[in-house]
Amino acid sequence: MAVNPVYHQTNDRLQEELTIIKEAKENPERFGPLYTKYHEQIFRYIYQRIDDEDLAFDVTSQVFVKALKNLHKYEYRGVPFSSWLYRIAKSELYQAFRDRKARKTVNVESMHLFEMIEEFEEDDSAGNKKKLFQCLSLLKDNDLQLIELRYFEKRSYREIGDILEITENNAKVRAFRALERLKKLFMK
Amino acid sequence: MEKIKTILDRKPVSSDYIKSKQDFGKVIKGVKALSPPVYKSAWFYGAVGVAAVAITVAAVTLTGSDAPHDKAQMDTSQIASNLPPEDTNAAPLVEKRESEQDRSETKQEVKKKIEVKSKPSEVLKTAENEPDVERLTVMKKVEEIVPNLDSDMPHISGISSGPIDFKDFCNPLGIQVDNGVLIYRYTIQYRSCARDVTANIRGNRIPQTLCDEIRDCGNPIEISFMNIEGQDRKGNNILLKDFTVVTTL
Repeated sequence: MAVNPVYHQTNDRLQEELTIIKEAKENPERFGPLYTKYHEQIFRYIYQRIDDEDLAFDVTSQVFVKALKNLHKYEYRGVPFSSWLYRIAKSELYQAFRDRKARKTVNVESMHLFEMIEEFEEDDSAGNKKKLFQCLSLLKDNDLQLIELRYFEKRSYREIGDILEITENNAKVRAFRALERLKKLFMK
Repeated sequence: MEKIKTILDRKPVSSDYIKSKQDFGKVIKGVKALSPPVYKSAWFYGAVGVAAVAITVAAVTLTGSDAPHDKAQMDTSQIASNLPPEDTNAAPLVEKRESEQDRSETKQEVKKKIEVKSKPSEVLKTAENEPDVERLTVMKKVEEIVPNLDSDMPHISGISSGPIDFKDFCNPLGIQVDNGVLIYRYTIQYRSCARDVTANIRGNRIPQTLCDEIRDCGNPIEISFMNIEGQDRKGNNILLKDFTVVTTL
């Protein structure tokens, strides 16, 4: 399965980011380039899980506000700055579900369903697609999150680990188990 | 369990549209809005704290420097209030203290009285060097020791020095003080025909045994009265002046 190449960056790019972050710690106005670079990624991550577009933009904006406010706490750990932003986004999403009564949403493309049915070695029929679609809404939060990150958004295990604050191997194991549970539901 | 909404093939949002929604200025404003107000910042509390401590210290310092003055005034008023109403010489003594010149006069007056008395000298040694409060306290003691040379002078039948008739000496009224001070103890010393006598007597009367001894001796006898202790009308204990009389038969 092809993974999203955006997350993987060269060492030079990482150092470039780090320089901007250091400058932004002194002067928040310098944060602009990072905002431009990651705004779309964060928005898509949030909009993938919220049905309301305006609310998704609001939450995205709030993610960057929080990031900028807490930038002095950021420590470079050899991973892209986006992993820190995703963690803030995850937290802001939960807050939006809780405070703004936003509804949890799973956006699925037909292509994703096709790929998963292939993974299950089943027929790509309309009935199976419908059944799988229904099974997704029956999954637990954690499992659904892993399925989304890995199979719909095509993120690497390393990136999933960074977002969920777990190791790469753990992300791999958990994603596999989530897929097994979805398969079990599907086969019933 | 909360049901999750599932959407199939939602219309994708274009990158251009997302970029058009970017507003970094809004983010900066949001950060400024989230930053705590000035009165909640650490440096504000620090500045206010330092100012409060400075004010407190200044207040305490100023109050502390005023305190002795107040205390001195309080003592002065105490001295004034403790004095007997008839004591006309002592009240001006307190009032004189308000100026430096008067203060020196008061010292001289005290010194004179010290010279008259022997015992309080050691107390008065400190009067010149100590602060006002202590000086006032010393003066208060002096006032107690030497109330007045005239009205406070103890006497027997109106005689406080020189010859006294034997009958007057053995007056049952004993030693008297004109300003109402009641004598409750004194020491008598004399040389009779047979021996030297020193006796501590309770009360103000001359014991009959003494009268008899002096009469029997038949010669003029010099009799000294010392350590005469009494109590004024306000209940203050005072030490009266010593005096000496010579009995004549």
